[in-house]
Amino acid sequence: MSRSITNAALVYTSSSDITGPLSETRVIESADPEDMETQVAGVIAEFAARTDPAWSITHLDLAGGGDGHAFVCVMEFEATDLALGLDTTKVAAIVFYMASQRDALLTARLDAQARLVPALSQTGIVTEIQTGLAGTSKGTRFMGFVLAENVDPGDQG
Amino acid sequence: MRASPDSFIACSTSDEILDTDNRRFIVVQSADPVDLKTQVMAAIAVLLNDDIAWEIAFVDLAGGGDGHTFVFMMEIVNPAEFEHADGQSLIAFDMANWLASEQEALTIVDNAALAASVVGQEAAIFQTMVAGACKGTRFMGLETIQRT
Repeated sequence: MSRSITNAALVYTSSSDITGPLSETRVIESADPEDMETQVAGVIAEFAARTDPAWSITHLDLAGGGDGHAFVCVMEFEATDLALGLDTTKVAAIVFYMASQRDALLTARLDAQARLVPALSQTGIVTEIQTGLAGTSKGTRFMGFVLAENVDPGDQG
Repeated sequence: MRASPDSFIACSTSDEILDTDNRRFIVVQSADPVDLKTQVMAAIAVLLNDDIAWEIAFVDLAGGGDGHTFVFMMEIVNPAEFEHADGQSLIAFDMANWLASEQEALTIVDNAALAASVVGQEAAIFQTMVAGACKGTRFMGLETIQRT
C-alpha cells in the first residue's frame, strides 16, 4: 500500500537523497504477533531516539502467512526534512493481533484495540491512523495491526 | 488501511478506545467474491437501519491460500461521537470485487467488476486492494466506491 500514513511523501532532490544515509528500510519477520509487536516497536524506538536529524515513518506494510506462517512488516524511515510522514517520536503504539477465522479475528482486533489504552497516558489523545491485515495459506493464520499516533491537544482541528 | 486519505479515529479516553457502540466492525470471510460482497452489503444494510450516520474509517482485505478463503474487515465510527473521524459515508458505500488467477485475467475482471458496479451512476473510487498468494491460484481484488 502507498501513502498509508498521513500525507506521507518523499521529496528527493538528488540521487544521494534516495540512497543516502537519510533513508532506511527495515524489515521484521515473525510468526508471532507479540514478538512482531516487540520487534517493530523496538525499531521505531530506535529511530525516535535519533535527534539530529529527526526521523519519520513514511510507509509501513504487513504481508505474509503461508505454510510457515511467517509474516513480514516492512517499514520505511526518512529524515524528517525529506519526508511528510509520521514523526517517530509521536508513535503512541503499534499493536499486532492474530486469528484464524472471522469471529476470532473480531475478538483479536478488539483485544488489540484495548492495548492502546496505556498510550493515553502520554498526551491524552490517541489517534488510530492505519490498520493492516495479511494472511493466506489454508486460512489458518491472519495477522493484523493498528498503528496509533500521539497528538498534542493543541494540534487537534 | 485508511478508508480515505484523511480518515482516522481520535480517542481521548479509554472508554472511547473501547467503545463498541459507536465503533463497529464488519468482518466477512468468503472464498467467493460475489458471496463476499453480498455478505458485506447485507451487514451494511443492517447498520443503515441505525439512527447513526456511520462513516468508514478503515478497510482491509487479506487471504487466499489453499482454501482460497479471504477476509474483509471494515471499521466504522459514529462521527457524532468521534468528531475527528473523516471517513467515507457508509450510506454511499459500494464495492467492486473480483477473483482471478493470472495477470491478464486480473485486468479483465477488475475492469468488468468496476464497470458493473458503477454503471449509470456517478461514483469515485476510494481504494484499491488486492490479496492472495500460496501457489498463486487465487487473487481477490477489491475497490471501494463512494457514490456521489
